[in-house]
Formats: sequence, structure tokens, C-alpha cells
Amino acid sequence: MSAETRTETTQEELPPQVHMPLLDYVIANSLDGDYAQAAERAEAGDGGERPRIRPGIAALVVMGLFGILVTTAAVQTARNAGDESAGKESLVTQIKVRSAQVEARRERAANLREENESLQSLFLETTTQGRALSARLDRLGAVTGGVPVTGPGVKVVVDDAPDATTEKQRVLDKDLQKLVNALWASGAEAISINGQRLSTLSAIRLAGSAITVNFVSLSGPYTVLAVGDPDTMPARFVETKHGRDWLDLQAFYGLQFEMTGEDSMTLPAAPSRRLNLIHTNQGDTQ
Amino acid sequence: MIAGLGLLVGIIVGLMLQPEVPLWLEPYLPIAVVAALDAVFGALRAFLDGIFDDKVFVVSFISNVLIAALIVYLGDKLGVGGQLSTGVIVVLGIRIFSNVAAIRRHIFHA
Amino acid sequence: MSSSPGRDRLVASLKRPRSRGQITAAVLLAVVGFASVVQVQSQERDSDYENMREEDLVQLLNSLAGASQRAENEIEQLEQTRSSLRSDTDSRRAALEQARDRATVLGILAGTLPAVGQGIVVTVEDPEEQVGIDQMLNGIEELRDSGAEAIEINNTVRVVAQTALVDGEGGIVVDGTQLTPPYTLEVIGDPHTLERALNIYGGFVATVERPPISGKVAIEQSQNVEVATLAEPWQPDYAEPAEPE
Repeated sequence: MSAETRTETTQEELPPQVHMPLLDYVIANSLDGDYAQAAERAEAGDGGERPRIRPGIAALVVMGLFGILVTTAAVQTARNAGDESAGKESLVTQIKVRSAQVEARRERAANLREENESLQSLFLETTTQGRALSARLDRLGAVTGGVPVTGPGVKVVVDDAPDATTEKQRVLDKDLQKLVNALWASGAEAISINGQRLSTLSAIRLAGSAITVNFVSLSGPYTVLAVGDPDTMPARFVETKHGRDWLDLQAFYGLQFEMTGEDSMTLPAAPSRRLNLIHTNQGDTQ
Repeated sequence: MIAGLGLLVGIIVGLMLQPEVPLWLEPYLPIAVVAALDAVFGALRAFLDGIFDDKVFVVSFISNVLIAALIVYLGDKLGVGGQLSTGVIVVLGIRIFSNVAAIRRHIFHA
Repeated sequence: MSSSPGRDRLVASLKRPRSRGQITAAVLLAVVGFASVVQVQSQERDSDYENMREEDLVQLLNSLAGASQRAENEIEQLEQTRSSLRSDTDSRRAALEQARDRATVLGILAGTLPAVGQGIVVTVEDPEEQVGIDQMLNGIEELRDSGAEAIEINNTVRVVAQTALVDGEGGIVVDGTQLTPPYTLEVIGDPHTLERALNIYGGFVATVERPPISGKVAIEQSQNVEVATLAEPWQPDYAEPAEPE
């Protein structure tokens, strides 16, 4: 192939779609070229077919088919739209119901969260109050005999005179009362006798021949534990009348008496019945 | 005139029969309608241009519809069904517009 | 560069607003504008679900169902927490109530709270000033033994566990406070039991009324004895609460 042959090919011989932009080509060839060709053939007198300028039976049939096609498509679309919209409608309804449900549940959850928060702070409050109350109870209990206490102090052991024959040679209730009174006056903070803690309601009495404390029968020797200052209590003890009375009891009747200082003693709590009020109510504070 | 009558008959028959379109055919129906529309407008323009021919009309109608459907079917198989159908609609649409413009020129001298 | 003809035309059209072409253009643009606005508004109004495709709607429904389930689970958990909090708080409150009651009882016993109740009022006349701590101590012990729950003397002193009696110049010194006769003891407890205890053979009344004391004891039962004197609140220096064994 020579270059000359190449250049012989002119633009007019190239099919139009080669050099025309696509859209231009499509627009230019909107009408089927067949119509033009059929018309040229008819003019040239080719073939025996006379071109029908007016539409004939074939056109009628085709238009009929076209009508059926369009109608069917329209009917089908209408049906689908119906189904689709019905389907969509039910979906939309469900969505609305669900959204409302989610909304309601979220609100309930928020309310519950709020409630729990306030319950939580209430709980903490009771805990704080509880702690404060517990501390107060401890203090009150130490003072009244409600809780066991521990601390330094003195231990006093008294007993009947050896070979005691007369009553006065025995430790009587009023002897113990005086002993305890003297110890209180010497600065004792808590006292127990033979393990019986003395509370406000505790009584030291003689029942028959036995001394009872807190309505519990005791027998000698009597160990009296008194929590306080072990350094000052003995001295203060002998300064009191009842303390001196005990010196007399020792001297005249031979009652046994021994007081020792202690670093650490533990006194139990008073029995709960001795911490029970039946007739008393809290009065008005003035 | 006869063509219009044919159209009317077709519409009435379609409404009366209300045929159920099988599911596998449904996606090709819109394409077929547009392709058919293109053939019909082309025929109308040819008629107004004075070069109408029955045979060409029949052939162009049937071939348009079949080829358009075939192209979309092929596209479905290749996985580009949506895009190819868009392309076919674009081209058919341009042709329809162009033919309708020519028809309008004939009718309104505008 | 001279101004473009296009721009000239535009400027000219603005200067000459009434040509037929412009009016036509105006009408058509008005239609376009109207239609656009209607469409935009319709879009916004029906934007909820109208324009969503079916599969999008299904997806939305599923995600909503999931969200609803999660919310339900959260509610369950929160309800559980709530009921346990409630029961804990209730039990704490009950414990607090109990503790408060006990604090009241101990407060009365410690003398830091006033007390009121039935009981007796004991008036001790001591013309010879012979009533001493021996008799008073004995009397207090008799009262305790017969169920005295709160005692105050001369409206001045509250008797508690640590109450100590010592002799003083004009009378008895109770817990450091000098008292002078007549001595009035207000005692809360069962009135009959208390009175009987003081009156036993060789008891408080007998001891006080006998010579050499020769005093006089009057006992009056009452349904409303007020023990209002409070003891000085104090903290123990040596005694500490111990862990119960």
C-alpha cells in the first residue's frame, strides 16, 4: 500500500461515524436510513414493490402490537406500584410502630436510670448516716455499758475474811456498793464485777446469802475491774469516805482487799436486759 | 388514520386481556416500550417526510425491541445490566427527541 | 480587549425591560421557579419514607427492631439494679431505724436525753441533816433493783452508771454537785414496785425515818414523771470500745 493510495481515501468515503462526534451522529441518524433507502429504490424503479406512502395493513398490525405492548407495560407497572405501595405502606406502618416502641423504651430506660441514681444516693446517704450513728452508738455504748470496752485501770479483788463466821466478816452488798461508789468517785469510766458490767440500771443487791449483780448470783472472791487512770485512781480511792470505809473493813473485820494497776483490761457489755427501757420514753428537749 | 385505529384497537385489547407478564420478562418491558416508541416516532417522521414504508416500519419495530432487550439481557449476564440499560435508554431517548423535533417542525412550521 | 458582546447584550437587556422576548422569558422562568419550589417543598415534606426504596425500608425496619431489642435489654438490666438497690436501701433503712431506737435508749441511759414515763416522786425531809451518802446510795441501789430506769435528784443531777456520791459541807455531793435537803428523787419505773421496794423492812424509808436520822420520806406515785436534767456529755479518756469476742 503506497502513501498515495492512502491519501486517495477521502473524508467523504469514510463512514460518518468515524469522524462525527457520537451525539451528533446519533442525532443525525435518528431516522432509520432504511426509509431513505426504500424511497430511493422506489424512485429508481428497482424491484416490483410499490412503496406505500400511506401506512397499510402491516402498519396497522404493528401499531396494534405497539398498543398492546404499551398497555401491558402500563398495567404491569400499575400492578407493581399497587403491590409495591401496599408493601411499602405496611413497611412504613411497621416502621412507625417500631420507632414509637424504641422511643418509649428509650424514655423508660432514661427514667429507670434517673431512679437508680437517686436510689443510689439515698443508699449512700443511709450508709453515711449509718456510719455516723454507729460511731455515736459506740460512744454511748462505752459509757452506758452497751458495748464491751478495753483500757487501763485498776483491778480490785475483795473477799470474805478467811474463816468468816459473822455476817460482818463477809462481803455484803452494801460493801460492794461502797467499793463501786468509791471507784466511780475516783474517776472510773467503766466497772465490772466478776464479769458483770455495771450499767445505769445495774443493781448490787443481796439475795439470801449471795450477792447478785444484774440479777446474776455471784460468789467470792469478787474481781472488780475499773477502767480509768491507773496512776491516780488508787490515791483518789483512799481519799473518798467509802474508800476509807474499806480500809476499816479490812482492819476491823479482816475482809480481804487487793488493788492492782492494770495496763489493759477488757470489760464485757452489760446483758441486754439491763439495757432495756420499758416505762421510759424520750422526753421533750427544752 | 388506520394506524391510529390500530393503536386504539391494541390499547382496548390490552386493557381487556390484562395479561400477566411472567417474572423473568418484567425487567425488559420498560426497555421494550421505549424501543417501540423510538420505532413509532421514526415511522411518523418518515411518513411526514414522505418516505414511509410498511416493511421498514415492521422491521425497525421488531428489531428495535429485540435488540434493545438483547443488549440489556447481555448486560445482566455480564453484571452491568443497569448501566447498559441506562445507555440504551439514553440513545433511544435522544433519537425520540430528535424525531419528535422533526415532527414538530413539520406540524408547526416552528 | 473590548467588552464581550454577550455582556453588552445582558446589560442592554437590563436597561430595556419590556421587549416581548423578555416577557415571554419571564413567564417561562416564573413557571420553572414555581415548579422548582413546589418540588423542593414536596421533597422536604414527604422526606420521611416516601422516597425510600423498599429494600431501604426493610433495612430501616431491621435496624429499628435491633435498637428496640437493645433498649429492652437495657431496661431489664436497669430494673434488676433498681430492685436490688431498693431492697438494699430498705434493709439499710430498717437497720438505721433500729440503730436510731437503740441510740435513743442508750441516750436516755447515759443521761444525754430527757426521759418521761410513769414512776414515783420521793421527797426526803432531812431536818437533822443526817442523811448521808450511805443511805442515799442504798436508796439508789434499791430503786435500781426494783426497775428504776431513770433517776434525777433535786432537778439538778441525773443519775447514770458512773454516778458517784461523796460527802459534802451541807449535804450530799453527787457527781460533783452539792445538793441540800430536802432531797427530791424523781424516778421512772413501775410505780408500785418502786414504792414497795423503798418500803421494805430495813429499807430506805425505814433507815431514814429511824433515829438518829429521823428524817421523813414521802412517796408519790405519778403517771407522768419527767426526768429532764441532762448529764454532762463526756467522752471516756481510758475506756475504748472493744471488738466483741
